[in-house]
Amino acid sequence: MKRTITQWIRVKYFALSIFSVAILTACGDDEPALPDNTINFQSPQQSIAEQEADLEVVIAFSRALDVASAIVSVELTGENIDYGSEYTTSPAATSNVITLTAAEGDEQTSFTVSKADGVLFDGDEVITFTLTSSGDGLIPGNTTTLELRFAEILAEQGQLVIDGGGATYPNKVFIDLSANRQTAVNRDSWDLGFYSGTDFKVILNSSVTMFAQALEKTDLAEVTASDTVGFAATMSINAFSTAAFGWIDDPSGDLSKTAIAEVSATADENVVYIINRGEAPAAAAGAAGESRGWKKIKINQTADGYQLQYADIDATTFSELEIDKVEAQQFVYAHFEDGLVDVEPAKDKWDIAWTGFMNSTNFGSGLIPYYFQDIVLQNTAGVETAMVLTDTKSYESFGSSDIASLAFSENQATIGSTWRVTGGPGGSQPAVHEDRFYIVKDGSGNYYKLKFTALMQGGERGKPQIAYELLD
Amino acid sequence: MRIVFLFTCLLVLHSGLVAQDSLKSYVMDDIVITGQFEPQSASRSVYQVRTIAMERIQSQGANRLQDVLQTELNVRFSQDMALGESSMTLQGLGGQNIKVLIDGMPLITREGTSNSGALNQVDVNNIEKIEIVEGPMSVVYGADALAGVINIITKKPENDKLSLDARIQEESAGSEYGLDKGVHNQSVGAGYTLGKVYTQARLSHNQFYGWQGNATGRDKQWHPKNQWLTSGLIGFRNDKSNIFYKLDYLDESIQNPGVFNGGEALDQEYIIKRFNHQLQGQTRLFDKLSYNGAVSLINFSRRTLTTTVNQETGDVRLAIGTGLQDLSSYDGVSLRGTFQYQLSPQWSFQPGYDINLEQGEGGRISADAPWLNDYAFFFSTEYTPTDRISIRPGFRVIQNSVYQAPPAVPSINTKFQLTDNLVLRAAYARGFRAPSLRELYFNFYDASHAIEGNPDLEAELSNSVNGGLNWKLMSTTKSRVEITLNGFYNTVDNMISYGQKPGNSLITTYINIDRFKTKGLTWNTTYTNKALEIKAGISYTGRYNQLIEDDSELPEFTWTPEANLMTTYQLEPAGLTFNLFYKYTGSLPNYEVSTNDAGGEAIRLAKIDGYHMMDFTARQQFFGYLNATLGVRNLLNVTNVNNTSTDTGGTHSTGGARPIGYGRSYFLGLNFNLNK
Repeated sequence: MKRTITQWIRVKYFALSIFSVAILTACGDDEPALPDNTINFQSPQQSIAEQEADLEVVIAFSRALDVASAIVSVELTGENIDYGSEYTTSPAATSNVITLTAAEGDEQTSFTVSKADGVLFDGDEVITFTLTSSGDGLIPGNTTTLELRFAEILAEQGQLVIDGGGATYPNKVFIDLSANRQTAVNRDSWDLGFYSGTDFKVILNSSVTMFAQALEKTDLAEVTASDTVGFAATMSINAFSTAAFGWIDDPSGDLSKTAIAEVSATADENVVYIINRGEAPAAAAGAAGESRGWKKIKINQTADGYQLQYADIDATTFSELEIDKVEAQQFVYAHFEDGLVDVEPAKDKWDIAWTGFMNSTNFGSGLIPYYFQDIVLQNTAGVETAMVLTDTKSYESFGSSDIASLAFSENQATIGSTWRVTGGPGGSQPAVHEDRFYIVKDGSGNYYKLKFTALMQGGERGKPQIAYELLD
Repeated sequence: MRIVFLFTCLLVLHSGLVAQDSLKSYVMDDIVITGQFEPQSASRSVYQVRTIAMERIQSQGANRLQDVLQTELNVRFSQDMALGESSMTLQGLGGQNIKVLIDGMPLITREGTSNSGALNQVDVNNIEKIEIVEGPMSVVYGADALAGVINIITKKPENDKLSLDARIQEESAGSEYGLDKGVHNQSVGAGYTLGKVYTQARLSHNQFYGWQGNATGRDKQWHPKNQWLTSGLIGFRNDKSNIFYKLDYLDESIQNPGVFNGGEALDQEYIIKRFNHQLQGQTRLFDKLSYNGAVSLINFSRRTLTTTVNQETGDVRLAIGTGLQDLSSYDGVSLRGTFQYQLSPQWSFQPGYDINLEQGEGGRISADAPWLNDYAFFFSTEYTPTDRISIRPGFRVIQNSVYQAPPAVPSINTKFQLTDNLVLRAAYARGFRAPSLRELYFNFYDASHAIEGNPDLEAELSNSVNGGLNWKLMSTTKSRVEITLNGFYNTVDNMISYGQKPGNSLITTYINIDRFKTKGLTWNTTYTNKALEIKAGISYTGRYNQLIEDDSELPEFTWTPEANLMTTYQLEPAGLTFNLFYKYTGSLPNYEVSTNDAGGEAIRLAKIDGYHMMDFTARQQFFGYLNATLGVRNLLNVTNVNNTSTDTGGTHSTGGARPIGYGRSYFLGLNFNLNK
């Protein structure tokens, strides 16, 4: 009996030992560390224009700060310009050093440079800012100096980390290549854009997937929920339907193909539109975006521009907003709650814009509206672009003499999504196409060659990088 | 029904039904257990059961079940290159409709309970045989047994006091082979029996270094995969009862290396760990009443680990993007039992219970996902009025805590021995597929999608008719010729598809909306003599064209032909065997809506081209305990097949070439087997 038990135990251990070998083999992998959190100026060179009194200088973090607080120090040196008498900063500099504090969760910090009142500038004034030191989880990156000039610049070259806001891509970012400047606007901050040109055209905010469908009625008060039966299911980005494609602005930016027809001078001819305001940027990466709700609207002409009448679908009264055309702006923007809002810079102050955008695609049932992240649009006020494949000419060797052979396009989505791939069934990862670059002709006739150098930072989308050079 | 297969093993050993010589087992009738009351010969079963024996797995030099199953008719695999996984269709129905069982108990994979994704996560070295039953088996096996059941029967210790086996296989991936290229597999196993106690253990390692193919730089078209599989078993048996506990452990890592872009590469690794505990027992309570019971406990976790690699410095860091780090886990508990009662030679009854509890948690599974508790009772009767007729009606009643399961599922299987050599089988059954955890509780949001699971989903329901004729054209002691003709027709209602969430059009969810049908015919011929075995078959499978609902002039079905040929020739005195495995998988047509140049829409016929897969192996036995197998896999050098679908609209594109294999590969396998 004793012998049996001993053998039984032996049998058991024999089995167990073999398992444990394999289980042990599987353990002991080293866990990789999080990436360094680097800090950078958004571009190495910027200018403060003659008409501007101050300028906010942004120092971007490569990811949200994951410690309780951190200090960023910026050293400044002026050339032909004196601190205090001719310019100041906020926060103020002590011994030529600005000390900035960032808190946990912050993705950037900034300071403001202000011209002193009544000072005249010659244009040869330059301030150089240097990120001198940091600690507590922040490490200086590649763009640690910024040269700020007091005259308009025509940037010879530049690199930008686009301030898209990270994983939830909350921003639409307008970029002026020649000024090395980017302007980030929350894409939730407007609903409609009113064209300032000769025609009376209205565009939807496609960066939040807005839709507009015409009714036959021309009186806002007569429209009730019964006029919108079935709209929720069909007039949506998630309908994935070809019908819905008729209720969005054409992705090309062609103003003759907008969802809202040209506004007539005769008020009785202007029909009521039902608006799906789309979806706001998600509160956190991987969360659902909230619905922005629905409106009914009617737009009429005025002597100086437009009159917008708007209300909730089942409301019996409506609000009005006057929108005057502004010569310097391509579009004047309005928000149903906030009224008139600033969105895009003056039409000659931006060339391309990075944004989420309602494009079109075909999944086998025809063209349907489909939302694309990482779309690059171009200003329809005179900017033209062309794509060059490196098979034809390399980025480095491309010169102004090569421009003539290109066919430039005015379609706002020419660059669109062609610069990157989002990964897919073949197992590929989201990436920029390194086999192509773009030539951008700005509204002033300058030509830049531009390439996308990164789609992601540390694996996160929403902060792509570009590099560009002036062709002369 | 889960019958204790150990009984089979014992039966096999004691009765000497199957001799040691593997070839002769082909001549003998296979013993099958899937869906049976008691283990019995395949020809007596009311189901048409296909059996793939261990010998076949070994002679094909298979590294994974897919290598074997893709030679079978009505079976089609497709690869998900991004995840390095594959999925299978049976009778034209997708992998979620196929129940994959290990020793009669369900498995858990990434999608939740049992689907074809689990097939390549099973140790081929530990398989005694595979039984495939086509057609709904939902009465006996419950949810997802709609297209059929694949029951993997694992090896159990035989009555040898001590058995040892070891296997090494070296294989190229296409033309790639080396220390860090190709396939390197090893396995070692041992069994020991002492009186009534038996025990067994195994350790296997499968290392596939991937295949570059069309990919560039660091990327690989076929992703590297490394598997460690262990299992241990301890059991007790006497004249009346048999009970054992078994633990299978899987540690799998699939690597998805990225290419350098913008100075960094994004590498992904999918790490799966699965513990599968099983306790199974069988006892004869009285002369005419026996009981089989089993409990299984599965813990499955899948980690997605994403890192960035700096191109200049080689520095590896955790990536921080959305969804790039994830740990999802699933727990499953199954309890199953059946009673077999033989009232008389004419009447047998089998009542049974089947309880399945599962839960998932992790990144994309909504936080409030509850346990999915499924309680079922089933009852089958086998009525055999004469030797020549068997009629087996059955039903299952189901109560599920979350989704609306069909309240009762019926089936009737019949078998008629028309003449001594001609058997007719006919069956009608309802089947159902449960909504998966993903469909119920997964939430996913990104730029283009807001997808939420729908906890209100109901099961997909099918009606199925199956029938077949089996004709023993010639059966002598020296040779045998057999012809089988089978047909099937499945209609699936309530099929789960994407739709808008009621009340919130911004969200896509899953709804019970579509319908689908498949039908087909299969013809098989087997010729066997002392030295030669030839199995040849053709099949023709029709898949429902859903666009007929838009355009009634279109054909209702699109058809795909298949053919296969398996030949074994044995040079008796030399101990040398040659094997040829061939399958033609015909083109898969599909109607789709495309946009023409003018922006208009038109329905067009796209198709994925057909392809031929052929393996050839030669196997030599030495000293009775060593086998060497030399083989060529994918002899016709298939890599990708053309696909004319125009659906190339991005991530979800079904267009573009379909990856099938990684080209002609060569392998050498050594099997050592000692019984003492």
